[in-house]
Amino acid sequence: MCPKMVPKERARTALEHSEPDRVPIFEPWMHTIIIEKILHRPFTGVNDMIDCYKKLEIDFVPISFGAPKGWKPKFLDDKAFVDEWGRKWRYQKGAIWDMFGFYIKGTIDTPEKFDEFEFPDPLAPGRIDDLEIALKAIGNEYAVMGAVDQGIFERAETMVGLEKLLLYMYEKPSFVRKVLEQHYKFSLELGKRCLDAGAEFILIGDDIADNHGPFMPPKLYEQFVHPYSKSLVQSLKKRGAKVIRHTDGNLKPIMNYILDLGIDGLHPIQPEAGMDITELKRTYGDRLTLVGGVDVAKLLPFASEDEVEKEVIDVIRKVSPGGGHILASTNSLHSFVPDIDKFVKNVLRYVETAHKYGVYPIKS
Amino acid sequence: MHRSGLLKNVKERLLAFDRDGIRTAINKALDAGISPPELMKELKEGLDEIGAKYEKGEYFLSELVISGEIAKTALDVLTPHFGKGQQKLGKVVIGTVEGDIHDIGKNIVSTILLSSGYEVYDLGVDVKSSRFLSEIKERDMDVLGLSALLTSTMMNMKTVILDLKKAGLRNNVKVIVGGAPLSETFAKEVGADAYVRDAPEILKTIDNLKEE
Repeated sequence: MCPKMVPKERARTALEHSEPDRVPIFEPWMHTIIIEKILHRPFTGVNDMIDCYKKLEIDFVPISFGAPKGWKPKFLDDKAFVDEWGRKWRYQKGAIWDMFGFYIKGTIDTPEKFDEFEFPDPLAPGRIDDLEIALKAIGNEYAVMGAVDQGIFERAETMVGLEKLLLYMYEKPSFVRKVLEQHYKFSLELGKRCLDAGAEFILIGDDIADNHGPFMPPKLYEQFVHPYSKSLVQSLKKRGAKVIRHTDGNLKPIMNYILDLGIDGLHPIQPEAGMDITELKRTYGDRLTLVGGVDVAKLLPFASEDEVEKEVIDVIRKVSPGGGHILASTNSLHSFVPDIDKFVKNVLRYVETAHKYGVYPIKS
Repeated sequence: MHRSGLLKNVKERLLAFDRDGIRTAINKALDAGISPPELMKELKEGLDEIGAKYEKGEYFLSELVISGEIAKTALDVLTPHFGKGQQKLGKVVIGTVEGDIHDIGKNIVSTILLSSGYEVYDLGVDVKSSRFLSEIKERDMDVLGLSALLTSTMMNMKTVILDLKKAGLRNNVKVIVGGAPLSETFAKEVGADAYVRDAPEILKTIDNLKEE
């Protein structure tokens, strides 16, 4: 048995395709309501998130970047607001960022509006305040990650509107390139800033697919998206970062490009999108650490705690032997579930099971 | 160019995602005396081909979006040429159920139906059950399409169907449900008539329901 490792060491070992002391756990985003239920107190900010990850002993702690200091959303009424990226959201109690409101639409939807738009500054003061707090608090022990949320394509498509951005790939290709390039530059500068602050791990979240497949044919992916995505990963890796890439959906039609990115880990491997983690481990396990395995569409919201335990043990036995596997939910710990208390109980059981049964050596 | 060539050209321009080309192709066909319903049929066939390629995994979302836009352009050119009393294939009311604001799949379904000759009333997103019911009552709809992307909102489809029953309207419409977390089993459980896995399946699904 391997001597007990600190989470950071465990994380690094799994990303280097070796067996750590136990299978590490990764959760990219956790809704504040879940954090409150786990800590039994109101959510007030990044310190609660840190406490929650520590309480659950989740090895990777991804910290999203924030808006510049002093920035306020522009409320259109008491429910709808526009964010820094010109995106319209419906406010939901809990958080005004990323996935926790309801995205309504992108408003920077023409070349003219884009030209008039003052593009956000990645170096603005305040952007990585939360990351700096986390690095100071637990950075020596945990794999604190600088999260470059919605990397390139996803931030672009939410800003312009997915349907419009896809349409423009055919009818206004130079505009699409211009938009993607700006987001690439933003993400690159932001990523570098995270590394300069001391982060050694980077999470690039950037959805480019749905359950059916990538949003665009491989040929268009190659023309428009891949060069920027690859350059972002390579530039951050050159500076020593370990990079996990998150994208929803069925990536099988573009798996060769995903490998070509040069990432260390891929999350979330969604089974409902036809992404079978056992099969992927067999095919790509020597080149890519697979991050996933705990179904968040059916298992965590609907199954019994015992069923959760059984599934987690099953995935550990199938995928973890040999290393190169990090346990994670197959998307994120969100709140879009019918019964949040049941969901939280199941999340706790998943984490407990991982600690108990994820200890190496693991026999398949 | 012969009639068949002119018709074929319309479909080809759709399949080539050529917006200017389809305008010209339709105008040429109309000038040659080809009727709008014949041209609609050609568009529907083109959309069917695109849908089949999507289902096979050869086409992707962007191809559904661009072809939908091209078909809408074709429809804009054709609409002024429809005679009064132009027969529509049926009336469809569609929307994303209450609490859910996802709409890409629903938008594609609307476009496909519209471009294939259906009269479509798209109520948008976050649509209350009462809104669906009043449209069905007032406009005598044939089909109700319900969409949801979230497991937390898909049960609202059941609410709409129960409300239809309570209002004595259930047998007036065929109810079709769609959205990523759904399944055939779920559709049966909530009492829908059919489940559409991917947007392009909608035409086939409605045709099957008509035959029942």
